[in-house]
Amino acid sequence: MKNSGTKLWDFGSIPMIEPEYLGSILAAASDIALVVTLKGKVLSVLVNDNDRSLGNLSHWEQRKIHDFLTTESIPKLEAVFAQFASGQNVLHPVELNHRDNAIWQFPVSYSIHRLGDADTLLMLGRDLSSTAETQQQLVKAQLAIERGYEERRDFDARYRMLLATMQEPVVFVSANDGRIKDINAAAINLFGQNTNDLEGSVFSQLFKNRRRGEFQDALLAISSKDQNSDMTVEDVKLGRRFKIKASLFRASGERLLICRLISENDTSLKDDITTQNLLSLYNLGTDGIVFTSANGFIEAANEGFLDLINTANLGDIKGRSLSEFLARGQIDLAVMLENVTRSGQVRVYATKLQNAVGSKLGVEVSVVRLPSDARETMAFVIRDTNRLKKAQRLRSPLRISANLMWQNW
Amino acid sequence: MSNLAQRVLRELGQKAPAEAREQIQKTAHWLAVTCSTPGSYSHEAVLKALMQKGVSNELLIDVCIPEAARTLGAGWNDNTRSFGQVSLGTVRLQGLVQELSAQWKFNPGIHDQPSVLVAICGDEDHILGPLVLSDQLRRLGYSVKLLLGATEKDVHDNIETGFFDMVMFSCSSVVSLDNVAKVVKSLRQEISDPPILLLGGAVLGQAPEIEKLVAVDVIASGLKDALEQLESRQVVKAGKTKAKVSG
Repeated sequence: MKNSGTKLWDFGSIPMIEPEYLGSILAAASDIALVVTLKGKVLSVLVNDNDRSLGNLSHWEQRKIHDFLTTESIPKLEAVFAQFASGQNVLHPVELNHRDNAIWQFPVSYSIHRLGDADTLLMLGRDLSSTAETQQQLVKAQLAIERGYEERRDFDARYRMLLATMQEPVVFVSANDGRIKDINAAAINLFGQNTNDLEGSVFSQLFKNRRRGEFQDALLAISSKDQNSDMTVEDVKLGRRFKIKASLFRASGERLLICRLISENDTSLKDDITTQNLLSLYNLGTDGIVFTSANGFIEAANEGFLDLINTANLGDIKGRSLSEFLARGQIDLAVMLENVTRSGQVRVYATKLQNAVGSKLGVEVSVVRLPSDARETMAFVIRDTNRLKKAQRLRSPLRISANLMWQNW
Repeated sequence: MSNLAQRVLRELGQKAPAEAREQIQKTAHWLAVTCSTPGSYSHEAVLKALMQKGVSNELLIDVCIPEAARTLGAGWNDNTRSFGQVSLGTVRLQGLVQELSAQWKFNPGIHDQPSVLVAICGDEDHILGPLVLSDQLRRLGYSVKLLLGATEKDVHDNIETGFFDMVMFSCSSVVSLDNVAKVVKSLRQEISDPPILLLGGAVLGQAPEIEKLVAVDVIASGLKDALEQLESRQVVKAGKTKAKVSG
């Protein structure tokens, strides 16, 4: 590299550098300059005077550089040493993470050069602390975003639980296109369809004689009035009449309508003990209870009835005729409806229920016509007679053995 | 066969057809390259492109994104990717996990699901693993609270009020293991019957006899390992006994 005849390098006009100045030049040209042996012993450390962030690193001298590297950086440097030991040069920069005083870490990008002496290397390092700082800021921003997501999840869970457990049917509708954005379980049950079919569909299609634009305008109109304003609609499937109360709000710039559906037949629930007990009987009772329209189309049924016909979801049977689940079909239903319409009630009607796969079950049915201002509702209470017979068989021997016991005493 | 190919085979078994497995590998590579490119990057465009690759959200989160992160790390190790590229790429991958995991729908249920506190203590900045773990647990029906940058007090407060079945500590290095050890020690001292304490993360390959450094009940190399250990009644019983003794 150097021309022995002059003090200039032969490929340019840079003069020879005296050894006493070389150190300061190297230190100034890099943020950190190390002279190390191929075994990793640090012979000298030069730190740029203008960059005081690295502090005094003189304690590195005469110690192994490995002591000041993070775990993942050691194999990288070992690989570089191995390359130099085998006579190869390393032309690409090598990034290493230094550690000092246990916690303090800083990344440095080194260009590594062989010195004249075959066993020593010059490592010229560029401090990447500013990049690391930027990375830390990025990570912090990411953590903040993630915390935001977590809070959102928390809020979302509460919102979903509220929607799932509230008994009032609620539908969120986009004010722009009239499509359903979200719908709660009560509303899904009401319409007897699955969530995927309802979400994204046009809300007005669920009701008779309603065009999307006109329906949307009507919803917006009642939402702008007082809270008691409502509009009456009739659902396509079963012809039930509802009142819709709507409120307009904005969420992230989008205009949404929250629509609450109130059945016209639905007298408001009284929060008294009898009402609560009746609800519990409906929800927990083993006898099947089914409410139908006057012509026998299922509007609601309890778990007891779903068990009797081996069906998992109410949605699967809602809107279907009860006759589909009776062994003699329409004949059974017609007999019961005719009698209940005439006399207001049917005390006991023995027949068989059949489930979707055709298996039959003996039952006793009692029917009551429920008075209503708008339209009639029929209530069917269905009891499994096989279970009844089994219970009777079990009861008899017990009674006998009890009598015997009394006699023996 | 590459490591990824082996992992895909191991994790998916023969369920995924060969074309799907190849697509998964290609997607992981594409993600590593795209996310570490210093030029303009559009989160939305990448998400859109990902959706068109025909790989499910589940496989993207469980296989492709972690593999892309491993590729970035390997790039730093062999000096083909810079520290800046790896940092940027990892943050972008984390953003993708957040976006994709948010697309899972919360399924309201009133039954009592197992609940897990995933805690990342102190200044730990490797959060991709815990994000993936949390999403996997949520998909399995667990109720998960993710605690980032958790202090000793944060973990205490959450255990006291949260009724967690277990606390999973995720730790990536020996340096941050000290933090976890301190938190676990104080939990043992101050809470009479703590939930099962579990440790996982990249630190497991870095320190020998880690169980002597941190007094957790379970040390697991991954979710499958953790759940297998937790499902065995002996571990739960041992964990509870240990907790009571130390408490």
